[in-house]
Amino acid sequence: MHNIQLNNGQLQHLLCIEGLSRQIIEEIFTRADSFLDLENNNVKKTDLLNGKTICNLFFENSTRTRTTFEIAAKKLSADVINLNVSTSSQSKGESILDTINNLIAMHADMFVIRHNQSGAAHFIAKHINKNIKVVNAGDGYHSHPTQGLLDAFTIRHYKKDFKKLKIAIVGDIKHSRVARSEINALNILGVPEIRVIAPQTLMPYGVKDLGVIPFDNLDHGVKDVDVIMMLRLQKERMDSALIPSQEEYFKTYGLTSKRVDLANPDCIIMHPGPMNRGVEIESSVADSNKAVILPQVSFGIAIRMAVMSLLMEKK
Amino acid sequence: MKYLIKNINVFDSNSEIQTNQNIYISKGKIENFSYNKNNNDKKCQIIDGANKLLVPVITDLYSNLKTPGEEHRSILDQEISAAIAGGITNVCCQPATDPVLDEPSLIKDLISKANKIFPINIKPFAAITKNLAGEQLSEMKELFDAGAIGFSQAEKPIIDTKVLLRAFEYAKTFGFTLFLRPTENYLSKNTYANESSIATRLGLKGSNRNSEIIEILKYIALSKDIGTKIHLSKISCKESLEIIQKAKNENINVTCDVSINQLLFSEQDIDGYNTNYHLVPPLRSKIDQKEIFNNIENDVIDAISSDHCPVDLDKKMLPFEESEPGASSFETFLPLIFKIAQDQQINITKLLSKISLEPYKILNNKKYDLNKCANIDFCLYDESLNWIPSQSSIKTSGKNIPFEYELQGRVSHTFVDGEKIYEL
Repeated sequence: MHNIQLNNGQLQHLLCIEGLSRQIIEEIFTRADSFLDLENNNVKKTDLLNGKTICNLFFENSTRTRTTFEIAAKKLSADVINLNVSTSSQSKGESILDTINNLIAMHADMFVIRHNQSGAAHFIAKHINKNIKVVNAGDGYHSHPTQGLLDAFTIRHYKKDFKKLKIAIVGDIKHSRVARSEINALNILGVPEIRVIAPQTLMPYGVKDLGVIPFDNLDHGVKDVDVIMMLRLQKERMDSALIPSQEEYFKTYGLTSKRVDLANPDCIIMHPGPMNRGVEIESSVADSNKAVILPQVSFGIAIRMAVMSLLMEKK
Repeated sequence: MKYLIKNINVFDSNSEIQTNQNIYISKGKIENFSYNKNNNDKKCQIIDGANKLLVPVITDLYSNLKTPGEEHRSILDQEISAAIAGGITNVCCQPATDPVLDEPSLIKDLISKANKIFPINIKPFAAITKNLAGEQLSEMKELFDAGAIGFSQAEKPIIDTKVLLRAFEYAKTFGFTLFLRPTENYLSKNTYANESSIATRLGLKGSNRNSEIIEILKYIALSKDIGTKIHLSKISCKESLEIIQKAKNENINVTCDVSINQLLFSEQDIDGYNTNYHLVPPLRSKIDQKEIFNNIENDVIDAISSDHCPVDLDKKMLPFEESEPGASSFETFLPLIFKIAQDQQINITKLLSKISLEPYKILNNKKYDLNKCANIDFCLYDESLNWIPSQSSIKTSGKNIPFEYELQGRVSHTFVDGEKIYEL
């Protein structure tokens, strides 16, 4: 694929993880480290994006991701506009490009976009003025690059060296943009063994080609792994005959402390949130000292600050 | 009008190219293939046939004219003009219009409107079921008498198998052919790409190949039992071709075509979310494509269709899954056939037979005979004309052409009923 997020190897937009170099990812991590250091030194705000306008354009409902982007932008001193497009112009029949062009006319410098259509962020990046940056905050089943980056950043924080790790991603792989971004990021960073664990109905076609080993048995899949990354099971999956019930799903694919015991003793447990306790994860596991779910959220802000500030520096 | 086309190569009804022919046409009839006298008749127009090939009766078994339904943007004029400019003189169009072509008056009206633009042979398919709803059979006999060439459900399969069985039985009663695009409703609904690792990577909802295979098995079982003649449109999967070959070996009355898009492009082209590659059926794998070429060579595939579908630019300027599927291909159809012959090392006569001789036979149950045929339709293809299809150089209302390369060769003249109706 022609990678429109790069120009001469330099990041112009962040649309997906695929096609990024290890060097770019590490540059983002290093920048995120520096923001964490500021935070630790009680510096709440920098003026890196002072005078810039960032528009959070959410064509799909989201509270958590939008909020973390907003916090990140405000910590960089940018002006933030939140636009929930699903309830505004689109419902009046305006095309996605017309909406964007109107906002460009209002001198936005960056768009953070969430859309339920795969490739929507690519579409927008392809059609807007080159000086305006686009960050994909989740498009369909395709990509959620900042989530993929923050998850890899969290693993780096706790495990240091990617090259010795066995990592399991568990749950609805088929419909998960988070899983795709995690897989891409971990592959680029050199993780030697990435496992994906799901029933056949939630496993995407040709998943091996993404560079993973598929498992349909959770007990086998989590054996000896260093990281377990859980995915949220959306309720509508039950309605489309993908799984018979929450109860059966929990019995076969729910992460219990007994199953965690099959993994390496120093294994960490991650979840992008929001969690369904008792569906994909047992409460005692979610609250255990192996869980790094809340640090993920904090790292998410640092990663988003890093992405936004790096992009705004690029001409 | 009288015409003398001098020194022209001719694709004949034996699927061979006769070189350096002189063709004399008078009163709409080809009179002498070897006419070589000095022509003193000043009323006879002389056409230089150098670098040109005469291709008779290009017959396109799958296209969309979107009429009735989009008259407000004069779409019929543009599409008929595009077909003529592409040398396509037999245009079989789908009934998925607004309203659906399920009433005799609508069939008559479409043919009459088209003929007022150009005297082209519009051969509409009528809907098998009323409003394509898959519930009540349409008045097939009345529709046939009004000018319908066959019966189709376009992209809307009949879900109720009992209705499907009745359609097979009723069509058999009158000897009508059912033109069916095999797609199982539940497996194909809300899908936008071939189900594969590419669709997975791009996050696009994939169409499982069983959607096509299951439906073909169903149609062939019914055809075998009832004896209805069926034509399967736009085959895309290699397994489908294996099933069709087996059915043909068992003398089941089945023919099939492939869309030219499946010959030119593969699923790899959707990488980058170019909505001009959003097609139905979705572009399949390179393996499927290779089998399609093999099955053109061994004649399991009878015809190649243009799958022409003009889409407004605004409906392509959207995220991939929201965009409207389809590609415009009337005007590029013949040049692309030559390109495929060259790229894939397939004999051009084999490919030409798949767009003229064979589809003509499917519609008419007989071969045309160029030597004897009065009022023959044909086009002249000029191999020396290089051009790049662009928004300004094509006549179709849909500027959705999925490529930007230069084509070698273009239709220079089109004749209908022995009269020249188009010259580049």
